[in-house]
Amino acid sequence: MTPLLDVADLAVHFPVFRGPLRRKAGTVRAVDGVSLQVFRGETLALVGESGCGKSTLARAVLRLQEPSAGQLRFEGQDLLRLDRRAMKAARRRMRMVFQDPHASLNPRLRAGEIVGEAFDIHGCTRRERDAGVAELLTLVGLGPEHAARFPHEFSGGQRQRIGIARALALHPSLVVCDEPVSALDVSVQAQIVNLLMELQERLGLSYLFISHDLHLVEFIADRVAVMYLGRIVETAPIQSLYAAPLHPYTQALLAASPSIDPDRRHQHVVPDGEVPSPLSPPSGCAFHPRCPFAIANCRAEMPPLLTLAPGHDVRCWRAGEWAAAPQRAAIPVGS
Amino acid sequence: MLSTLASAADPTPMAAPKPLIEVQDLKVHFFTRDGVVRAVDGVDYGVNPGETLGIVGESGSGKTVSSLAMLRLVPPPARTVGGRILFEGEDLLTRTPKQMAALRGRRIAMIFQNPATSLNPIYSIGAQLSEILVWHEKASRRQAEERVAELLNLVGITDPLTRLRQFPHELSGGMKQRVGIARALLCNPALVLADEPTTALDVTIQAQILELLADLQARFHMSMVLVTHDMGVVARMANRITVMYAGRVCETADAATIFSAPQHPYTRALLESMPRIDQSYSRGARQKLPTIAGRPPNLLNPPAGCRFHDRCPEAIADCRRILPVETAIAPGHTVSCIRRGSPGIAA
Repeated sequence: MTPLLDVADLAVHFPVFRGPLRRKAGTVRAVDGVSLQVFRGETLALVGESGCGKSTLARAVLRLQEPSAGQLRFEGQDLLRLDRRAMKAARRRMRMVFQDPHASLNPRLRAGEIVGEAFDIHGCTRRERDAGVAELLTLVGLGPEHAARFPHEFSGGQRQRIGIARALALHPSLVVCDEPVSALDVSVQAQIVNLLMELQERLGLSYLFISHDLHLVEFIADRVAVMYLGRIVETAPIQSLYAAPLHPYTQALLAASPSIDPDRRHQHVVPDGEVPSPLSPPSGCAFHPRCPFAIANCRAEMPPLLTLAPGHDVRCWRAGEWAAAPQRAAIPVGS
Repeated sequence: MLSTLASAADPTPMAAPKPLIEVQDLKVHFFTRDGVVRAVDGVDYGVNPGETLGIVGESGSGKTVSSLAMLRLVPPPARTVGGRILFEGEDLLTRTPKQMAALRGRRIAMIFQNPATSLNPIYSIGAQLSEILVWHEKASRRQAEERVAELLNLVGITDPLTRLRQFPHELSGGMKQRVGIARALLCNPALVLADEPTTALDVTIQAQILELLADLQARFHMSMVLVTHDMGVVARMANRITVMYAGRVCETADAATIFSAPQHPYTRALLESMPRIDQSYSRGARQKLPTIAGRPPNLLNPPAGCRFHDRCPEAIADCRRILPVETAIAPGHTVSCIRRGSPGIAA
């Protein structure tokens, strides 16, 4: 099966200028050689902490941020070879839902104009647009009567529904969701999560779902890619990732994420140290300064992404050991 | 009135200790152009010596405002319009501003949500922290800096003497929050109010900060009020939990009870609506998350009766009419729901 979205060795580098003469002081490798696939109808979650490059990667996939290197194939097209017009046409099929529903809706436009803008940009008639807007608002659980209201008249959850309706205009096949519920209250989060899953089922959508909430990801995703300092360190189907995480960073993330489950609640496992600066990443494996299992080789050389089981890739020199003895992978980190 | 209890971690119930701070029927209203917003409207809770009380609720539930009221720091247009706050036997609401100033940062200290904005960017860490000791304890600059360095070391900051000369922008988010914690502990407070202390941080850093807080609290036998929207954080940290909704307390119980046998319909719904690791959601047979229909009421014009009634699956006709009053249904477990036997005030 060919993937809907195929990202190969994608890199996004930002030059950093410092000093009075704005000399180039270095390069931030925000995304550095990332490969991933999203198949039709599936949800691939991208998890990691702030600064790991997950949002930059999402923007690069839509070419909202021009990649520095790599390949990007979407529905069989090589996106990086498309000119502006062709890229604009391709963007009908790949849309984005943003994190903050307060900041991502223009306060001066009515809900109908926000949702309908895509129809105008892509040259639809007025009638197509009005019909489309009414249908989309109904689809996301609002009503056609909401089209005349301004964003400030809606609650946070309703605003995110408008953001989702906007993304679904013109029948996309891929929706990139950048932390779509993290700005919402818990009781509203559940409503939006249910809506996203229902829409996926009805419309056959694929999601690239960016999140830092591992509980949510387990609920919504089919596969997970874990990023650390610009690189993917582990990719796995949901079940194997949560049952037997192989990369020490994934183990640390799972252990650190606060849980309300009684048997996990009192695990006090804390990974040491902080995320290093992407301006001067550590040598070898970028996680080695924080990793309790680091060996000499980890400091010297970046491990390759190894496939240890079907669909389960890990970037760790010692991954073979964890895979062979899964009970040892049961997080002896810290305490 | 809240009774006190032994926490789950402490299986031998002792005689109920006297609470260090007790909030009684607290009312904080915002006097806005559009009318009076009843942000905190008759709230009771208490914190025992050495324990952590977690206050959870969604945005607008009044959790932050009620904790600011304990320091008499509610910002205009809000005013504390009723109730009592008994701290070490005295009502803070009757203290003079001068008496409050002598108390803040010394007996009751606060850790703020955003470490990036709660430190002053134009003073060095050493200057802004030692100022507190100079002011409260009439310490000399030198004594103050020694004590600051000692505390920075205690909160896990390496090379504290260098850090004293640094400015907030030179520190990472996690480091800044460690400084915020050191600042709160400078005068050995009896009570620390922590308002979403880890919300602005990444999960691995959050875990480090939570561990540090728990450790320091046990070491100094402080009481702590931890205000958060994150059930996972209170699960890890709190001895007892108070759940707030729309300016009122729904339920207070020890942490284990809140998670294993919640009684108030809002507490139940809130817990059910959270995805959990380990609940093995299998693809295909994937269920939906249970949701709470509707959204929190507008506190300009709160609904009559129970404030949760229009979203509550168990609401009966009386819930629209009767405002429930918190009542104990078991030792240390109070609920305000007439369907759980709470008495009420008819509208």
